[in-house]
Amino acid sequence: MRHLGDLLSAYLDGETTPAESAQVVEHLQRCRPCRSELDEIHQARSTIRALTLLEPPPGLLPDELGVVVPIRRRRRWMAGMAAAVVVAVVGVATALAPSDAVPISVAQLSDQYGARSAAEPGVTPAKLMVPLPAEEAE
Amino acid sequence: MPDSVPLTWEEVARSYGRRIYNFAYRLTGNRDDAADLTQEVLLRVKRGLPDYQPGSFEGWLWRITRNAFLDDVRRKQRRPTSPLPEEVDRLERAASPSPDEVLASIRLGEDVEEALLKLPIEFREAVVLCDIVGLSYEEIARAVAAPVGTVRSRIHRGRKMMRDLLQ
Repeated sequence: MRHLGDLLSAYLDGETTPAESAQVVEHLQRCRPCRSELDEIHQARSTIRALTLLEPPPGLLPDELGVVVPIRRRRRWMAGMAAAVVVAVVGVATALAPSDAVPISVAQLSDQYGARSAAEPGVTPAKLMVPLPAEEAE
Repeated sequence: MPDSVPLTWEEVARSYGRRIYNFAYRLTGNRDDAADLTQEVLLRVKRGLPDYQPGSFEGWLWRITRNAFLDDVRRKQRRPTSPLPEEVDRLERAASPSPDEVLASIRLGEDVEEALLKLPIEFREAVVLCDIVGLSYEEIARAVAAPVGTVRSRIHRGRKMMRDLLQ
Protein backbone atom coordinates (compact mmCIF):
# COMPACT_ATOMS: atom_id res chain seq x y z
CA MET A 1 0.00 0.00 0.00
CA ARG A 2 1.39 3.34 -1.03
CA HIS A 3 1.04 6.14 1.52
CA LEU A 4 -0.58 9.43 0.60
CA GLY A 5 2.41 11.76 1.01
CA ASP A 6 1.96 14.99 -0.97
CA LEU A 7 -1.72 14.29 -1.43
CA LEU A 8 -2.31 15.07 2.25
CA SER A 9 -1.21 18.68 1.94
CA ALA A 10 -2.98 19.05 -1.38
CA TYR A 11 -6.13 17.67 0.23
CA LEU A 12 -5.95 20.14 3.12
CA ASP A 13 -5.52 22.95 0.61
CA GLY A 14 -8.43 21.86 -1.57
CA GLU A 15 -5.99 21.15 -4.40
CA THR A 16 -6.96 17.55 -5.12
CA THR A 17 -9.19 16.33 -7.94
CA PRO A 18 -12.43 14.60 -6.94
CA ALA A 19 -10.80 11.24 -7.71
CA GLU A 20 -7.81 12.09 -5.52
CA SER A 21 -10.09 13.27 -2.72
CA ALA A 22 -11.92 9.96 -2.82
CA GLN A 23 -8.58 8.16 -2.72
CA VAL A 24 -7.50 10.19 0.31
CA VAL A 25 -10.69 9.45 2.22
CA GLU A 26 -10.60 5.78 1.36
CA HIS A 27 -6.95 5.45 2.32
CA LEU A 28 -7.25 7.36 5.59
CA GLN A 29 -9.82 4.91 6.88
CA ARG A 30 -7.35 2.08 6.93
CA CYS A 31 -3.96 3.77 7.36
CA ARG A 32 -3.02 4.99 10.79
CA PRO A 33 0.38 6.45 9.75
CA CYS A 34 -1.33 8.64 7.16
CA ARG A 35 -3.92 9.78 9.71
CA SER A 36 -1.08 10.81 12.03
CA GLU A 37 0.72 12.56 9.21
CA LEU A 38 -2.46 14.42 8.27
CA ASP A 39 -2.79 15.69 11.83
CA GLU A 40 0.85 16.75 12.02
CA ILE A 41 0.79 18.48 8.67
CA HIS A 42 -2.44 20.19 9.61
CA GLN A 43 -0.88 21.47 12.82
CA ALA A 44 2.21 22.78 11.01
CA ARG A 45 -0.01 24.45 8.41
CA SER A 46 -2.17 26.10 11.10
CA THR A 47 0.91 27.31 12.97
CA ILE A 48 2.33 28.95 9.86
CA ARG A 49 -1.03 30.51 9.01
CA ALA A 50 -1.28 31.91 12.53
CA LEU A 51 1.83 34.04 12.03
CA THR A 52 1.02 37.70 12.43
CA LEU A 53 0.61 39.69 9.26
CA LEU A 54 2.75 42.79 9.43
CA GLU A 55 1.81 46.27 8.33
CA PRO A 56 4.34 47.79 5.96
CA PRO A 57 6.22 50.74 7.47
CA PRO A 58 4.59 54.13 6.88
CA GLY A 59 5.59 55.71 3.60
CA LEU A 60 6.59 52.46 1.92
CA LEU A 61 3.38 52.26 -0.09
CA PRO A 62 1.32 55.01 -1.73
CA ASP A 63 -1.64 55.65 0.51
CA GLU A 64 -3.65 58.54 -0.93
CA LEU A 65 -6.68 56.30 -1.34
CA GLY A 66 -5.88 54.25 1.73
CA VAL A 67 -7.15 51.13 -0.03
CA VAL A 68 -5.59 47.82 0.81
CA VAL A 69 -6.95 44.63 -0.70
CA PRO A 70 -7.65 42.18 2.10
CA ILE A 71 -5.24 39.29 2.15
CA ARG A 72 -6.95 36.02 1.31
CA ARG A 73 -6.73 33.98 4.44
CA ARG A 74 -8.45 30.66 4.52
CA ARG A 75 -10.51 30.43 7.67
CA ARG A 76 -7.63 30.35 10.07
CA TRP A 77 -9.84 30.26 13.13
CA MET A 78 -11.63 27.20 11.83
CA ALA A 79 -8.38 25.35 11.32
CA GLY A 80 -7.47 25.61 15.00
CA MET A 81 -10.84 24.28 16.07
CA ALA A 82 -10.68 21.59 13.43
CA ALA A 83 -7.51 20.08 14.85
CA ALA A 84 -9.17 19.64 18.24
CA VAL A 85 -12.32 18.20 16.70
CA VAL A 86 -10.37 15.71 14.63
CA VAL A 87 -8.38 14.52 17.60
CA ALA A 88 -11.67 14.04 19.48
CA VAL A 89 -13.40 12.26 16.60
CA VAL A 90 -10.50 9.93 15.92
CA GLY A 91 -10.12 9.30 19.64
CA VAL A 92 -13.79 8.44 20.14
CA ALA A 93 -13.89 6.35 17.00
CA THR A 94 -10.83 4.42 18.09
CA ALA A 95 -12.33 3.80 21.50
CA LEU A 96 -15.72 2.67 20.22
CA ALA A 97 -14.89 0.81 17.06
CA PRO A 98 -14.40 -2.96 17.27
CA SER A 99 -10.95 -2.69 15.72
CA ASP A 100 -9.06 0.28 14.37
CA ALA A 101 -11.88 1.26 12.06
CA VAL A 102 -12.37 5.00 11.79
CA PRO A 103 -15.52 6.52 10.34
CA ILE A 104 -14.45 9.23 7.97
CA SER A 105 -16.46 11.02 5.35
CA VAL A 106 -15.38 13.50 2.73
CA ALA A 107 -17.61 16.17 4.20
CA GLN A 108 -16.29 15.48 7.67
CA LEU A 109 -12.66 15.72 6.65
CA SER A 110 -13.34 18.84 4.68
CA ASP A 111 -15.15 20.52 7.53
CA GLN A 112 -12.65 19.46 10.13
CA TYR A 113 -9.52 20.34 8.24
CA GLY A 114 -10.93 23.34 6.42
CA ALA A 115 -10.17 21.73 3.08
CA ARG A 116 -12.15 22.88 0.07
CA SER A 117 -12.52 19.58 -1.71
CA ALA A 118 -16.02 18.81 -0.50
CA ALA A 119 -17.31 21.92 -2.20
CA GLU A 120 -16.29 20.52 -5.53
CA PRO A 121 -18.99 18.99 -7.67
CA GLY A 122 -18.78 15.27 -8.01
CA VAL A 123 -17.59 14.64 -4.49
CA THR A 124 -20.31 12.74 -2.70
CA PRO A 125 -19.95 12.60 1.04
CA ALA A 126 -19.91 8.95 1.99
CA LYS A 127 -20.06 7.67 5.53
CA LEU A 128 -17.99 4.55 5.82
CA MET A 129 -16.87 2.31 8.60
CA VAL A 130 -14.20 -0.03 7.43
CA PRO A 131 -12.33 -2.30 9.84
CA LEU A 132 -8.63 -1.94 9.43
CA PRO A 133 -6.66 -4.86 8.06
CA ALA A 134 -4.18 -6.39 10.50
CA GLU A 135 -1.83 -3.48 9.92
CA GLU A 136 -1.04 -1.05 7.21
CA ALA A 137 1.43 -2.34 4.71
CA GLU A 138 4.64 -0.41 4.13
CA MET B 1 -9.91 33.05 -15.15
CA PRO B 2 -10.48 36.74 -15.93
CA ASP B 3 -7.40 38.79 -15.34
CA SER B 4 -8.14 42.24 -14.02
CA VAL B 5 -4.86 44.08 -14.18
CA PRO B 6 -4.24 47.18 -12.13
CA LEU B 7 -3.47 50.00 -14.55
CA THR B 8 -0.72 51.75 -12.65
CA TRP B 9 2.06 50.70 -10.33
CA GLU B 10 0.42 52.81 -7.60
CA GLU B 11 -2.65 50.61 -7.88
CA VAL B 12 -0.44 47.52 -7.72
CA ALA B 13 1.24 48.98 -4.64
CA ARG B 14 -2.06 49.74 -2.95
CA SER B 15 -3.65 46.41 -3.84
CA TYR B 16 -0.70 44.09 -3.33
CA GLY B 17 1.85 46.07 -1.31
CA ARG B 18 0.94 44.57 2.04
CA ARG B 19 1.11 41.05 0.67
CA ILE B 20 4.39 41.75 -1.12
CA TYR B 21 5.81 43.12 2.12
CA ASN B 22 4.69 40.09 4.13
CA PHE B 23 6.04 37.67 1.52
CA ALA B 24 9.31 39.62 1.55
CA TYR B 25 9.45 39.56 5.34
CA ARG B 26 8.91 35.81 5.54
CA LEU B 27 11.58 35.25 2.92
CA THR B 28 14.14 37.58 4.43
CA GLY B 29 13.22 37.40 8.12
CA ASN B 30 14.08 41.06 8.45
CA ARG B 31 11.86 44.16 8.34
CA ASP B 32 14.45 46.42 6.71
CA ASP B 33 15.27 43.89 4.03
CA ALA B 34 11.55 43.31 3.50
CA ALA B 35 10.99 47.05 2.99
CA ASP B 36 13.93 47.25 0.57
CA LEU B 37 12.68 44.22 -1.31
CA THR B 38 9.16 45.64 -1.51
CA GLN B 39 10.54 48.86 -2.96
CA GLU B 40 12.60 46.93 -5.47
CA VAL B 41 9.57 44.89 -6.51
CA LEU B 42 7.44 48.00 -7.00
CA LEU B 43 10.23 49.53 -9.07
CA ARG B 44 10.33 46.42 -11.27
CA VAL B 45 6.55 46.49 -11.56
CA LYS B 46 6.71 50.13 -12.62
CA ARG B 47 9.30 49.28 -15.28
CA GLY B 48 7.60 46.10 -16.43
CA LEU B 49 3.95 47.14 -16.42
CA PRO B 50 3.99 48.80 -19.86
CA ASP B 51 5.16 45.50 -21.37
CA TYR B 52 2.90 43.28 -19.31
CA GLN B 53 0.93 40.87 -21.51
CA PRO B 54 -2.52 40.00 -20.16
CA GLY B 55 -2.34 36.57 -18.58
CA SER B 56 -1.81 35.70 -14.98
CA PHE B 57 -1.13 38.99 -13.28
CA GLU B 58 -0.51 37.36 -9.90
CA GLY B 59 1.88 34.86 -11.44
CA TRP B 60 3.76 37.75 -13.02
CA LEU B 61 3.80 39.81 -9.86
CA TRP B 62 4.94 37.03 -7.55
CA ARG B 63 7.57 35.91 -10.02
CA ILE B 64 8.97 39.44 -9.96
CA THR B 65 8.94 39.41 -6.16
CA ARG B 66 10.63 36.05 -5.95
CA ASN B 67 13.25 36.96 -8.56
CA ALA B 68 14.02 40.21 -6.78
CA PHE B 69 14.58 38.23 -3.58
CA LEU B 70 16.82 35.69 -5.30
CA ASP B 71 18.85 38.48 -6.92
CA ASP B 72 19.29 40.01 -3.49
CA VAL B 73 20.40 36.69 -2.00
CA ARG B 74 22.95 36.23 -4.78
CA ARG B 75 24.22 39.78 -4.30
CA LYS B 76 24.65 39.22 -0.56
CA GLN B 77 26.42 35.92 -1.11
CA ARG B 78 28.98 37.78 -3.16
CA ARG B 79 29.27 40.56 -0.56
CA PRO B 80 28.54 39.29 2.97
CA THR B 81 27.12 41.95 5.28
CA SER B 82 26.91 42.20 9.05
CA PRO B 83 24.68 39.44 10.40
CA LEU B 84 21.58 39.38 12.53
CA PRO B 85 20.11 42.87 12.56
CA GLU B 86 16.91 41.18 13.78
CA GLU B 87 18.76 40.13 16.92
CA VAL B 88 18.68 43.70 18.26
CA ASP B 89 14.97 43.95 17.61
CA ARG B 90 14.45 40.68 19.44
CA LEU B 91 16.53 41.71 22.46
CA GLU B 92 14.69 45.01 22.69
CA ARG B 93 11.38 43.24 22.63
CA ALA B 94 12.46 40.70 25.22
CA ALA B 95 13.74 43.47 27.50
CA SER B 96 10.47 45.38 27.63
CA PRO B 97 8.22 44.25 30.48
CA SER B 98 5.23 42.24 29.27
CA PRO B 99 2.78 39.75 30.77
CA ASP B 100 3.95 36.14 30.64
CA GLU B 101 1.29 35.19 28.11
CA VAL B 102 2.41 37.89 25.73
CA LEU B 103 6.03 36.84 26.02
CA ALA B 104 5.14 33.23 25.53
CA SER B 105 3.18 34.02 22.43
CA ILE B 106 5.99 36.17 21.07
CA ARG B 107 8.47 33.35 21.68
CA LEU B 108 6.17 30.89 19.98
CA GLY B 109 5.87 33.22 17.00
CA GLU B 110 9.62 33.64 16.96
CA ASP B 111 10.14 29.89 17.03
CA VAL B 112 7.88 29.55 14.02
CA GLU B 113 9.59 32.45 12.24
CA GLU B 114 13.00 30.98 12.91
CA ALA B 115 11.91 27.54 11.77
CA LEU B 116 10.50 29.01 8.57
CA LEU B 117 13.79 30.76 7.86
CA LYS B 118 15.63 27.46 8.24
CA LEU B 119 13.76 25.90 5.34
CA PRO B 120 15.67 25.76 2.06
CA ILE B 121 14.47 28.60 -0.12
CA GLU B 122 12.45 26.51 -2.58
CA PHE B 123 10.43 25.02 0.27
CA ARG B 124 10.14 28.29 2.18
CA GLU B 125 8.81 30.24 -0.79
CA ALA B 126 6.28 27.53 -1.63
CA VAL B 127 4.99 27.34 1.94
CA VAL B 128 4.88 31.12 2.36
CA LEU B 129 3.12 31.69 -0.96
CA CYS B 130 0.56 29.06 0.01
CA ASP B 131 0.01 29.68 3.71
CA ILE B 132 0.80 33.37 4.15
CA VAL B 133 0.20 35.00 0.76
CA GLY B 134 -2.74 32.67 0.06
CA LEU B 135 -2.05 31.68 -3.55
CA SER B 136 -3.39 28.55 -5.24
CA TYR B 137 -0.96 25.83 -6.32
CA GLU B 138 -1.46 26.93 -9.92
CA GLU B 139 -0.52 30.52 -9.07
CA ILE B 140 2.49 29.36 -7.08
CA ALA B 141 3.61 27.19 -9.99
CA ARG B 142 3.56 30.26 -12.24
CA ALA B 143 5.38 32.35 -9.67
CA VAL B 144 8.22 29.90 -9.12
CA ALA B 145 8.28 28.59 -12.70
CA ALA B 146 7.83 24.96 -11.66
CA PRO B 147 5.20 22.31 -12.42
CA VAL B 148 2.20 22.10 -10.09
CA GLY B 149 3.32 18.62 -9.01
CA THR B 150 6.63 20.06 -7.85
CA VAL B 151 4.83 22.80 -5.94
CA ARG B 152 2.62 20.24 -4.25
CA SER B 153 5.66 18.24 -3.20
CA ARG B 154 7.54 21.31 -1.94
CA ILE B 155 4.60 22.51 0.15
CA HIS B 156 4.16 19.11 1.73
CA ARG B 157 7.85 18.58 2.42
CA GLY B 158 8.15 22.15 3.69
CA ARG B 159 5.37 21.55 6.20
CA LYS B 160 6.96 18.30 7.29
CA MET B 161 10.25 20.13 7.85
CA MET B 162 8.37 22.75 9.90
CA ARG B 163 6.81 19.98 11.97
CA ASP B 164 10.23 18.46 12.63
CA LEU B 165 11.81 21.82 13.47
CA LEU B 166 9.02 22.76 15.89
CA GLN B 167 8.93 19.44 17.73
